[in-house]
Amino acid sequence: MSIATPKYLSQSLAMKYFFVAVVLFGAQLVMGLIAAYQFVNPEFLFNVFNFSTARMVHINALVVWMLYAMIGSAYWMLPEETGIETVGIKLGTLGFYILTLAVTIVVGVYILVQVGPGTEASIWLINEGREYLEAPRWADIGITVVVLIFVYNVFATVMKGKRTGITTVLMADLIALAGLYLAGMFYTSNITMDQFWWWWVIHLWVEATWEVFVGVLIAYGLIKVMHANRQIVEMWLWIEVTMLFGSGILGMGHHYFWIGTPEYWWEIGALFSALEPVPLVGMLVHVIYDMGKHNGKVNNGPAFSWFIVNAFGNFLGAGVWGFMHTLPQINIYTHGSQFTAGHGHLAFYGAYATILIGMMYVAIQRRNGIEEMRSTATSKWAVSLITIGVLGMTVALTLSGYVQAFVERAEYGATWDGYFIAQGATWFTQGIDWRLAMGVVTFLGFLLLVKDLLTIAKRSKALAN
Amino acid sequence: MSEDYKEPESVWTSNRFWSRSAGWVTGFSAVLLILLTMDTLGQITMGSAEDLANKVTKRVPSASVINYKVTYEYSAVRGHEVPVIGEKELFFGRNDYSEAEANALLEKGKLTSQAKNCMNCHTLLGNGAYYAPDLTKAWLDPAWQAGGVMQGMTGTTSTDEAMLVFLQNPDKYASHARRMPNLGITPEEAKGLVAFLKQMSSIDTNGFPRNFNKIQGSTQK
Amino acid sequence: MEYLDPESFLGIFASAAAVIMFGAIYVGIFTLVKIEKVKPLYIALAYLAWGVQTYSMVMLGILVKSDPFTVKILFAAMVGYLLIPHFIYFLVHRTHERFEHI
Repeated sequence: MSIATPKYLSQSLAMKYFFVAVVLFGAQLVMGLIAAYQFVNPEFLFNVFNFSTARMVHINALVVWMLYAMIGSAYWMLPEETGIETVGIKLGTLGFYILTLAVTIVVGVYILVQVGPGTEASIWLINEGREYLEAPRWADIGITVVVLIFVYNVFATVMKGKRTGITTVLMADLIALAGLYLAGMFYTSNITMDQFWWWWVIHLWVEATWEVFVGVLIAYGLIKVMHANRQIVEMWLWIEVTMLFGSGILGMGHHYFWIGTPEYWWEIGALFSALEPVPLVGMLVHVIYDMGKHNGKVNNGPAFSWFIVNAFGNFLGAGVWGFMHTLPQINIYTHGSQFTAGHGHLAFYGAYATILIGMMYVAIQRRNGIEEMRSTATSKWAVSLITIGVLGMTVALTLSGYVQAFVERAEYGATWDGYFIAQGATWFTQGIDWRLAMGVVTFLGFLLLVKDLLTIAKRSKALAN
Repeated sequence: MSEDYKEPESVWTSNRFWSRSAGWVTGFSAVLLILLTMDTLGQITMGSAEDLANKVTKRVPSASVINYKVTYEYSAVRGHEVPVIGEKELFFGRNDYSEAEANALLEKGKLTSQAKNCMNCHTLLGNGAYYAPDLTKAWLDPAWQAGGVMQGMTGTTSTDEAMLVFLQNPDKYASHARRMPNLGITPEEAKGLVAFLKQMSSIDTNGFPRNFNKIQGSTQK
Repeated sequence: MEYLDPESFLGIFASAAAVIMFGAIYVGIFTLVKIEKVKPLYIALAYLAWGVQTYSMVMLGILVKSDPFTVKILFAAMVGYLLIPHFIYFLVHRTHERFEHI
């Protein structure tokens, strides 16, 4: 079976999205390193490029590169799944340039202007100051328009072409994902109300709709990389959707423990977040089962290793690190400490970064018509270094978070005094030092990853001849 | 469905069964979330100045709470600390802010907190970054009370004045190696921020952060 | 909500992590035995992992000072977890039989 595909414009567009995604991934890591170094040396770039700015760009670049890679993955899969060129692809391409221009301006303003006066104008033009959703309002509207074009592309193509289980789930998920963004686009002076709706976007993205998107990518990956049977994979996708939405939607409760919302969220949050690891265990079983049945025969080595890291990373980062501090009894001591940062690092990496990088390898392989793409030494070093780096950061931050829970929260009652005493504790600062060191390891892995993504196609072709 | 689709032998291996289950489970969860949201929205809507005058407890009190003294006390019934709104208290020399004036101050403060990107160093209600102290109960923190380090350093005698002075030149009043940068906060913005912090401290956060006034000599134990 | 003893924090984090880790070990070994990648004897290890997981869950319940009723519910949930992989495997197996060995 040849895997060479016709040159769809949709897939050219996908490559563009992947390219910008990798650039933003790099920006995310550089900003993370600056912020991590400021933890060690607070005078570094003080009053010039403050921690708040570095951290804002760090997390925004994260969200945006993942959205880029997700949109890219969707444009990649669409023609293969539906058998036709994406409907309205010219409009989609225009959308890409508008979005990229907007992102460039937003990042430029973040870096150069940084903060504004306390007026509505600042929120419209500079930054909205709400973690993860900092994009100023004008950009919010722009993003919404571009995403609507994208959703239209997907919808119209699925309606016109062959309809599969994968595209049906993709379509439904994207509509929910795009619609939820609207919940984060208004101003209120009531901070509790503000955070209530803020979580509608953040939680229902990362613990529901994004996870389902990952399910779609895994399904596609299993079919293309391991030649798994479509009927089975699609049935599994539906089971995953059932379990992910069944636990994830009401898992929202664990964000409503302490923001001023009623106590009944304690029970709802505890129950449903305890269920959240179940679909992750399900994915793990399914991947082990398929590997066993197919005797590990794959046509894309690097993509396959990233998929494996995804199955385990999602389970560890979201499952283990999530459950460790999700019960309200313990969460009241850990919430808002480095513990959360540890969980965030491993979960975003394990659940999302891994699978999206895997998709990039799939695209490179198929774009170049390579029958079998083996891992190069560089691919192996890249995946190992990044994984070790992120795991290392997570363990280091968890240690620091433990000190915070113990010293700041339990001993000193979460006062400012307690906060600074904990920040100065030896175990805490060691954790912070190790986080920086592991961040450097991650960055080295990233450089290798870029090298590999740029060269692997040529190498594989040379090998085949 | 593809043409080679066969009637399922068992419901468990039927694509149709599972796609419908996914639809029903998702729909059911979403409806439940919406119902709970409607109930919660009712409970977290900001109270009014009247509520405060009549001692009606709201989870999120009106901005007019700046006219009153706020404390954080252990409630045996709830099993954790809750904010208690007491007698009138001066806020920048006045305790007769009308609801409109108080709302304007709060809005200025909340807008400033967003425009200055507070959340990417501090946590508010536990959410944000972890580079600087949590601001949820900052208004009640011993560091800002009489005898606390902040009043001493800023040469002021009240929490509101201390915060007002500090916020305009935070890099000059460092209590720790990790200083707060100068964000160009104006006196008007600073006053709004103090109102925002005071109102936030009066929100009922189900006992978060844990043990808050333990070292101040809480009523617990 | 009860106040926790800071000394029990480590136990809480460890037992919570153990619940999920041993849960994965249980289903992992279970699946490997079922698809005949390892000897059937190893199934004992799988159930042992479930035992450790259940123990960790009850420990966790006690350490966060849940009331005895909640601890019983947790135990019931663990019985549910014992059955889950059987069910998931049943599903996977039946679909594979249906679509791949006709």
